[in-house]
This record gives sequence, structure tokens and C-alpha cells, in this order.
Amino acid sequence: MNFRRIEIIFLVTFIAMDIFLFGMFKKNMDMQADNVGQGGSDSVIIKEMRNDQIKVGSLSKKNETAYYISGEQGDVLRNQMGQLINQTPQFVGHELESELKQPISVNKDNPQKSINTLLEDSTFVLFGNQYVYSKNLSTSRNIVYNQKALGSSIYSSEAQIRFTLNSNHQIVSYTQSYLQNIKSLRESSRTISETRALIWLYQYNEIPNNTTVAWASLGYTKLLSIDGDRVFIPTWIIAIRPQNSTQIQLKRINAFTGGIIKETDENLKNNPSSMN
Amino acid sequence: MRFSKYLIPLALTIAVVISLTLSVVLWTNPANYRTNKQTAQSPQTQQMIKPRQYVYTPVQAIHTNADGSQQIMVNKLVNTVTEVKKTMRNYQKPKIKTLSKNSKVDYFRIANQTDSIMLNYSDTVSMRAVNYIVKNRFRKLPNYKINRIILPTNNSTKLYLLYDKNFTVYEVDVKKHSLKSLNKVLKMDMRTQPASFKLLNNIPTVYVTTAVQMQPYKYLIDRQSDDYYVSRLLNTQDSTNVSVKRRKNMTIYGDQSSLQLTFNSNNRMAEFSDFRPNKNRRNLTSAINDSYKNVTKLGLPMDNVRFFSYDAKNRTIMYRTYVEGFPIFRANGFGTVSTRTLNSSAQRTRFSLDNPEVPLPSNKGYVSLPSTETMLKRLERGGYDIKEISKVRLGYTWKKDSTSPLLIDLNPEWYVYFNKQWRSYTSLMNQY
Repeated sequence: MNFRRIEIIFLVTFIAMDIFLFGMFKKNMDMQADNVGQGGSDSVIIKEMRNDQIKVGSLSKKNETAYYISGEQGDVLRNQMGQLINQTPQFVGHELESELKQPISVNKDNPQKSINTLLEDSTFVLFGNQYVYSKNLSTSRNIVYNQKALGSSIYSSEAQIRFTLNSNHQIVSYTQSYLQNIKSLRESSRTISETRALIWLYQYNEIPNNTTVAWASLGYTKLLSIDGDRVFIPTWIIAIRPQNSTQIQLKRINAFTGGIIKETDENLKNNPSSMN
Repeated sequence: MRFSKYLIPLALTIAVVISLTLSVVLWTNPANYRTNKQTAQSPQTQQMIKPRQYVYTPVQAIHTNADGSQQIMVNKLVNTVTEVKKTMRNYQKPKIKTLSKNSKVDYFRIANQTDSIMLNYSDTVSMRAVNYIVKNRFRKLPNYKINRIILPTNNSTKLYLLYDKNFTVYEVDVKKHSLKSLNKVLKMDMRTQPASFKLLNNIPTVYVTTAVQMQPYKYLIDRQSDDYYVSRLLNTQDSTNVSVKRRKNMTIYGDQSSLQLTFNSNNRMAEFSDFRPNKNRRNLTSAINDSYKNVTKLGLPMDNVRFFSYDAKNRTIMYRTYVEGFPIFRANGFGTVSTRTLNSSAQRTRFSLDNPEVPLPSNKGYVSLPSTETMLKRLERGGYDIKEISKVRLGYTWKKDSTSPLLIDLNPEWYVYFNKQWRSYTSLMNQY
């Protein structure tokens, strides 16, 4: 073996080593980039979620502002239901249930378009202009409107109108609940972004594999009741649907603290231990 | 051939050099040794840590009208100070000069100028703190001490910084900017309270000139367990080393060498003592920085917690929770958390295990408190030497609610700094 051949062997070996080292170097750089800044780590976690077969659409990173708000359950609906015409209203619990004497036809594809105009009429629905259509909660036979509150809307059965449609696209009845005296309890504060909310839900292990995030929406949901008063907090409501299923599951993330909210319905004063 | 004779040795040399360089880079890069695990911060704590500009912020905004009358801008639907701060992020080419020193006349001429907004810090801060608000635009300005910021609403090239102690006025010249957003803040939904800015015992003070209407509050509290802090603060390599001692209502946890955590179950207060060497720095900026690090380390909910005071003598920094822009005072005048540096090997952080979280609807109507002048006069008539009072504040008194251990009542009250402690007006008046 002459010296030249040894040189060539060395050259080939070192070039191979260089390629290997460069590969490692690049991987290192990526790893560092992952650790830098929240934006970077956010996208890494989103990537991780996609690896777990969780389907996520595009997410907003915008922080919004919201309030702590309160509302009262009262008798306004009962007191004013006399003004409703062409229907038989009944006040049950805290809800107004009303059956229409004559079904009203609505737009076949976009029933909310017809209902929006109907809501202007205070002899059809009380305080109709204080509600807003919720596409997410509505189905073809059940149209849901949420009560508006300080630039957002309340996701609660205590502040909702649900219209029942028959197969001929006609409203046959509706159920209404209403909160009065909605006011802010404190000045506005920043909320977490949609991306953060989803990431935290994922990190709490609340999103199983093989699911689709159907929608996410910022609204007010009930935190607790004190006697007749209801306290609402801004919440990221995230709908999760297992793949090959139509059943939707709603998860709630406190939009101020990022904590997960489990369903509770106790009155604070009756059961203080449940509010930990 | 001459060329090919050198080609192989040359290529070999280059390859060797490259491999050596890459090896060195890889070996010296710490990222290589770190296992790629997620940083162990839970989502909750990430949200709890508030940035410096949130904690070290002015706490009060006062508007001076065109006719010279002044009013405190009280938070209602928006936090007025936050809204004003939002308009301050775009100052270009700031230049600072000292306009006057030791002249009360000049100081008040600038402070009370017509058409301006005054942002008040609760206590003296350094330029670094102001720099956080203006998105780092003041980073090149000297690190002066500052108490107040004056923003003229009709002059788009100037703002003023005031230091109370020697009545210094600094003028900051900036490139012309739009005042539209600043003037828009004035039209936002807020309550106002007539006030005037003048001297009390030679200290610039905001006087409330008429009786004040304040809303009492009920809050749901965030009740944290001892364990949460033990695991956060005494989290040394092996937790088996943590010792526990119980004495009456006190529980003392220690890691047997340098850390100690004491809980008082009576008043739900905790004290964390750290006997590891610290930087023991004395100047205001460093003290604030070190304190911020200690406070964020705790994992305490920092919602609406703001810097309240710095006592240079015993190096104690106090933070308080603010409601509607007014600080909360607990029994014996304590706030939410305080840090203290005793010497180069002792630091102490005191904090409360219960903190206000969610405001609840209160059916109590507004409470009326007397004007500053009236309040001081009544104290004087009650036999107190007004000259002993250096600070007065409107605030809220923390009181346990009788109906549930998870609720507290916050009642509006006057507070005065008397005999080196914060005392409520009623507690002083009831003493006789």
C-alpha cells in the first residue's frame, strides 16, 4: 500500500465523519430553536398533537380582553310574557316554554336568517335583540341563540333560546331563558389565546388521540351561583369529536388562568368545599 | 502532475479541520447534553407569572383638564392606567434633560399643567421600570429615580418624569407622535373622582377634594395548600430531606441546611427564608430585579398584584393586590407578598396563602368616605399629630366573610402611614 492510497482512505473517512458531524450539528440547532421563545415551543406542541392524530385547524394567537360578569335569574320573562301573541307561553322553572299556534316557516338552508328578523319583534320573543345565533350549538332541527354580554355571548342553558323546527323547516316551539342585570364585576383583563387554550387542554391530557378539534370559541360560562346571582367567566369552549363519531364533547378552559373547568352546578354557599 | 499531487493532501487537511471544528462546537454546546424534555413548568404557573411591566406599573392616572381641575380616573370597564400605557409604546428618539431641581414651584407647574395625564407609581422606581412600559424605547436614558410620569394631551413631542424627593423634573423630548389614542382614553367608560395634587408634610400627595364613593366588594379566594409551596420551594434533589416541625398554629418545613418555610394556620400567612448566599445588592434597580425573581419563584397568583413600596432601610419590597385601582390592606397593614434582604446570606419572602380570585356581585351600595382634608382634620381632632403622617391612600380592608371560608369582604377605607406602619382611619379613630 503506498502513501497515496492511505491518503485517499483517510480522506474518504474524514469526509464521511464530516457529513455525520454536520448532521448532528444541524439537529442540535433545531433543538435549540425549539427551546427558544414561546412561539417556537407552541408550534412544537401543535406538531406533537398532530402526531397523536389530533386534527386541528388554524388557530388564532391573539389575546383578547374580557370581564368577570354577573347576571340574575329573575321573573322578567314571566312578568312580560303577556305581550307574546300567537303562542301559548308557559313559565316552568326559570324557563319560558312556548308553543306556536301557527308554525312559522324559515329559510331552508339558513334558518337563522329568518329568525334574526323575527327576533326584532317583541311580540314573538321577549328581548330577542339581546340574543345571537350560535352556529356551533345549533343542529338542523334545533336552532340555538345565546344571550349577548359585553361584546361576547354566554354559553349557558340559563341564557339561551332554543327553537325547535319540524321537518318542513317550520318553527313549532321554543324555550327561552334570560338573565337580567348583566354587568361587569371588574375592569377588563387579557385572556389567553386560542392556541394557548388548546395547548393547555392537550397538556392536561384532555384531548384523546384520534380526535378532531371541531371548533373553539371564546364565551362566558358559569363559574358559580350565589343565591340568585350567577357569576360567569370568560372561557375557551373547545369542542372535540372522536374520529368516526358525530358525538361532540365540550371542554372548558378558564380564559384568564388557563385552568380547566369541570362541570359544577352547586350553589357556593350550600357547598363551599366543591369550589376548590 | 503538479496540481493533483497537492490535491489529495489539501482536501485531507480541509476535511480534518472541518471535523475538528464541528467536534469542538458539538462538545462545547450545552444543548447536546440536555435531554429533550419539556421544561417542568405547569401551564398554571406560566399564566401566573406576570411580566415586569405588569407588576412595576403606575397604579393611578389623574387627568388635569383645560381649566386646571383634576380628577382621578377610576377603573370601571377598563383599567385606565393600562389603557394609557398602551398609548406609550411608540416614542422615537427620546432625549432627556433636567428641567429643574429642588424647586417646588417648577415641580408643581409641570405636574399640574393643564391638559395632561399624570401616571403615579405607588413608590419610587427607576428609569428601568419606566422603560418596560415604553417597550424598551428609554433603554439609553440614564437610570434616574422616578415617581410620576406626565403626559401632555396637547403636546406631541414632550413628556415629563418627576422625582418627588428633591422635586426634580426631567423633560423627555421625543419625535412627534399622534395623540389621538391618548385622547381617546379620556373618553372611555370610567368613573372620575375630583382631586388635587399638592404637598402634605412636604411630600407631594394626591388629595381627594370631595367625599369619595367607593364600591365594597366580595371576592372568591384562591386558597392554596401548604403542600403546593413546600413542593415548589423546598424542591431539592431528594425530598426525603425535608423536616417538619409543628408548634401550636405554626408548621415549619426545612431542608436542614439553607431553606425554611413557615406556615401560620391562624392568619394563613407563610414565610420563606432563604439562607443561601445572595447578591445583596442595594441600589433600587437591582433590589427590584432581585425581588421580582424571588416573587415569581413562589408561584403565587399575581393577578392584579402590583409593586407598592420599597423601604431602602430594611430593604423590604411590598406588593399589593389592587381592586378598581385601589390597594388591599390586610390585618396589620400587610399586602399580598413582600420580600426582604437582610444580608448577603438571608432573604425572606412573606406571602399570603389566600388571594382574591373572582369578584362576586355585591348587593351593598356604594360607601362614602370623607375627603382627604376632612379625614386629616378629624384625625387631628382625635389627637393625632398630622406631621407624623407621610402617606395617605384610599384602599380596601380585607375581612373574612361570615358565610363561607372561601369568601372575603373588601371594604373601602382610608389608610395613613403613621408611625412607620399602615393604619386604617377607623382603627386610629377607635383607639380613643
